[in-house]
Amino acid sequence: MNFEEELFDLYVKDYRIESSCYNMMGRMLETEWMKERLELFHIQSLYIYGGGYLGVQLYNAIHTMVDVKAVVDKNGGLSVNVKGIRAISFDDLMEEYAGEKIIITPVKYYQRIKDDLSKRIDEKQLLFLGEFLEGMVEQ
Amino acid sequence: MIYIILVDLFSKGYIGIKKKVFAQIKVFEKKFSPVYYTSHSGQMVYLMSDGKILEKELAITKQECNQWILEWIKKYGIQRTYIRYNMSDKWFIEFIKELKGKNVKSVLEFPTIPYDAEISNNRVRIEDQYYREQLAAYLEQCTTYLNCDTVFGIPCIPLINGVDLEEYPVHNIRKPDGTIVLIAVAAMSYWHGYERVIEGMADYYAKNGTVNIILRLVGEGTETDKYLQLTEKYQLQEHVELLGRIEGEKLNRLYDEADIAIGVLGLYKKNMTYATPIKSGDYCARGIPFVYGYDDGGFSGEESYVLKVSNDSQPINMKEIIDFYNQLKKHNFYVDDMRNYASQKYTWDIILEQVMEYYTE
Repeated sequence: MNFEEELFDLYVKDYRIESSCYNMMGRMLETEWMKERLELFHIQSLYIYGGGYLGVQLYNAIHTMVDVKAVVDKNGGLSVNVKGIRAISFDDLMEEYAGEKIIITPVKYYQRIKDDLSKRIDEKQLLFLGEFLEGMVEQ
Repeated sequence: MIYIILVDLFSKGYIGIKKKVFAQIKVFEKKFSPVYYTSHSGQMVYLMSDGKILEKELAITKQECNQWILEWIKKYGIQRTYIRYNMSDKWFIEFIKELKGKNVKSVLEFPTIPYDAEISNNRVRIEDQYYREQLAAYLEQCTTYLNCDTVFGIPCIPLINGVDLEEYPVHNIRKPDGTIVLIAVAAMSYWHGYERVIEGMADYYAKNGTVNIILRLVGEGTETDKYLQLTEKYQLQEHVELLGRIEGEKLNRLYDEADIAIGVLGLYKKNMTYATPIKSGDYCARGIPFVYGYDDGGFSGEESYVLKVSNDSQPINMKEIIDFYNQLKKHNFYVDDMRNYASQKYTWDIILEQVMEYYTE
């Protein structure tokens, strides 16, 4: 593959990531849908991984429906300027984690985060945000 | 074997496609078990078999979907693929090139031909038109629901849409009560052309027609508002009922309360003359006579239980419908005829025979 083709592929990937984020942002505005998805996955309490726009939007969408333990980010903080959301680091998570589901929100770094988390946490408890919003539910 | 389909096979919008895919898989399983299949939803691509998720991976781009599928083909030692066409792009071409390189025998199904008019996204259309010219270099067999020898240079096996008789309850013929009840069950898209029926009813009553004709539209879609407006415009509220989406037992009852079903009447809008829509097979399997307006791969138009009308924008002549109804009343055994015909013509085992032969060559 030549340089231009490689660059083109990267552009396509960036475009797809942006449009996926946009779709997910929109999906999270649908309150009834969010309720339904939480029920489908039998989620009563959870952690949100990623303190960016998607993570905070997810928090806002569901924190009145279920117990959101915290938003986890490697820096232990949020990249969005909002108050009132408990943010913790990965190490903090490991100290208090008790088998809850973790929804991973960063799209670009999903694989890396999933690989890191799955070293210490049962993979079945890890969900990608897109999967939570529109993916299949294992019976 | 793997059935590759990159849509959300389990979403409500794909119920018809899911039914069809699983019916085809059932046939493939008879010779090539296990048959794996894919689904794509929430940016995840899934590999499934027998209703169970075997693998799932994040796949934001089509390229990533293809890469995961290629990995699974290798991991599970898969020799054959049946691919439901999802538009061409450079990654799809790379994908089928790779399959050919691995000596995986592939058949590509085009669900609709021609389809350009259905693609609203200009970029997708242009991209597809460019890359589809390369398909023939890597594929030796395709299928579609149109009677043609080749599609984009790929030798083609023409198919018709099959039905599973067990899924269709037998239509109970309604006792004549002076009313003719028509039913149209569809996603109400522009090519269904049901405005032709509404306009035909308007003509009929404007000329003082005396037979009470009821049209029940079941389903919702982009044309629903238009049908509603036409109903109001022609003051046909007593004759046209828009019932929205209805499924299961309730739908079965509605079929039993109807005399004639309405098939596709607007294919001319897609510049098509020939098709084998699932709808005709569905109606036939239920045993409810129906009206359609195109050349159907499953019917000649001469059958006593179908009424073939023109493939244009002309309002449907209600006198023809009334005559058709009166003809039907003369013999009530058409339900068995229709179901027998469906069992011979519309079973996927028969429809996919040539495809199975190709895989075993």
